[in-house]
Amino acid sequence: MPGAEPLFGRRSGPSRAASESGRMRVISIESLSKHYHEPVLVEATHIFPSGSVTFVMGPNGAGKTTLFKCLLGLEGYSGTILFDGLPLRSVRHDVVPILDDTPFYPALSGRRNLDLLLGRRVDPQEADHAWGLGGRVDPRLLDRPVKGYSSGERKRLAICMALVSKARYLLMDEVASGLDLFTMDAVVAAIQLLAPDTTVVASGHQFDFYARVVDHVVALTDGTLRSVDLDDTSAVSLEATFRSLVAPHSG
Amino acid sequence: MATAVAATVGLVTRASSRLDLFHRTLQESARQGISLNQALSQPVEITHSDQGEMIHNILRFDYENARIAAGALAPRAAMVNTLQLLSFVIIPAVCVVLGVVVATRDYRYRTIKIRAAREGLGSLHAAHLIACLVQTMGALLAAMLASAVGAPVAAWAHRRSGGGGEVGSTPVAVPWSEVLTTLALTAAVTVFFCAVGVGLGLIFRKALVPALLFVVWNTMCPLLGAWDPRNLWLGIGRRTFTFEGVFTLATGGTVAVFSAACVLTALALATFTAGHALSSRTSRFAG
Repeated sequence: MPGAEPLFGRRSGPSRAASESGRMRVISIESLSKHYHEPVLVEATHIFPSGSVTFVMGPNGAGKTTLFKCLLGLEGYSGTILFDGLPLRSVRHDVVPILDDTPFYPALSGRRNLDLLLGRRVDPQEADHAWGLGGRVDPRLLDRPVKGYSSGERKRLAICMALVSKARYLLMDEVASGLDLFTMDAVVAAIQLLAPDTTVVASGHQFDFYARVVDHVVALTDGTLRSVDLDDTSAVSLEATFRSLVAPHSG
Repeated sequence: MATAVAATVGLVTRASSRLDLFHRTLQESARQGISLNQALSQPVEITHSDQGEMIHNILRFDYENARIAAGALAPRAAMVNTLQLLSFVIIPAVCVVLGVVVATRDYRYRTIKIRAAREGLGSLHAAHLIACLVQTMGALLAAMLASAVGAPVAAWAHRRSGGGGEVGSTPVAVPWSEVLTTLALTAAVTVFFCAVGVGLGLIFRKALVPALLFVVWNTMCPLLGAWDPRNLWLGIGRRTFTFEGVFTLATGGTVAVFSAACVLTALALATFTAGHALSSRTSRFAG
């Protein structure tokens, strides 16, 4: 309905303009370095543009998960990470991570998990709408303990959390792994719904999935980040780019 | 609640046993031609010899003990007795285990990654500690109130069963200041063991190891002698409490209250801070 406020306060459909408030939601990384027993990230510098989906690709062990941990403040690092010019501690409640293992409290229902992890009582109608995005999901599941969820349903719950939280910064690490086609469609729909007002940074290896949502591609190799200019972001193109990244590094 | 019940039962049992002892002493004294009034007109004398302790005017001694025990069933006295029992028997185990369980919950389910990102580790750990304190303080107050309500009921039943008649009870000998002082000390013990429990949970990130460590430590002889944390608390309690119910404090060694308080404060802070600091080490989120 024209002029009506969408349930999640977003305009539907892709839009690469700044958010309705005019605020740019840029994630900037400058001279980010991290090492364990050997260097993982070396003076990595990049700006993740606002209101877009950036796909970080790299071979296994390149440091993608480490990058995400640094972005989330879960690891110490040297360098600077800013969210709209602000440190993480100033924007914590605007950041939602979706991790491969989708951790939740198993004995609690999906709905209760949303309340606890978001730190507020989530409107039931809003949660139901987010949960049912894309259809083909049992609406009663949201009221059942998470320990009975499949991995795909846990991913759906994580996406639901991102939607109801109105996340400004969405960080997704291997979000598409283990998803069936319908759940994947739901996740794509959710990302497209969020993308105009959310800065999305995603990593993974499911090129078919990321091809449907990605705006920018960044390669993580040798501990550094560099933008990859692609004429198209199809799955074939992404795969070819990935192969070109890995080939020089294969043994 | 169980503590309040146990404390009340202990007080009633003591009152009954002392009353029984007084009645036996009264009968024995009557056979010897000594009345209660005669005994009350003379002081109690306690002498020490190679054969041990000798109590002179045993009738008056048992009479006064029976009155004191009956007086301990008064609400304020019962509350103080329960608080002492909690402080030195129940709270150490309960608070440490609770702290460990609360602190390790997010590590156990890996939700620490989400919560640390959205709330910050400092806020999260503080919330863990506050959650433990709220739960234990609530239980502590409930136990105290249960004692205050239950003890007079027990006292009434004690009198109805024939107890107290000629003995009666002492006037309420426990002032409100002592109740508040005891409550403050119990609260301090609670804070200490909750901080230690949460700290241990954060250091080990597992519930079983610190729980086992605490059980082992708690059942071992005090390796640190007078400086053992348990003994430090007992020493502070000994200098704080003027009233003792059925729970008797036994201390080994003497440490000044101020020194003991400093050591205990430092220990709690160090454990909690170490747990928080170690949460920042590499791979703390273990995958």
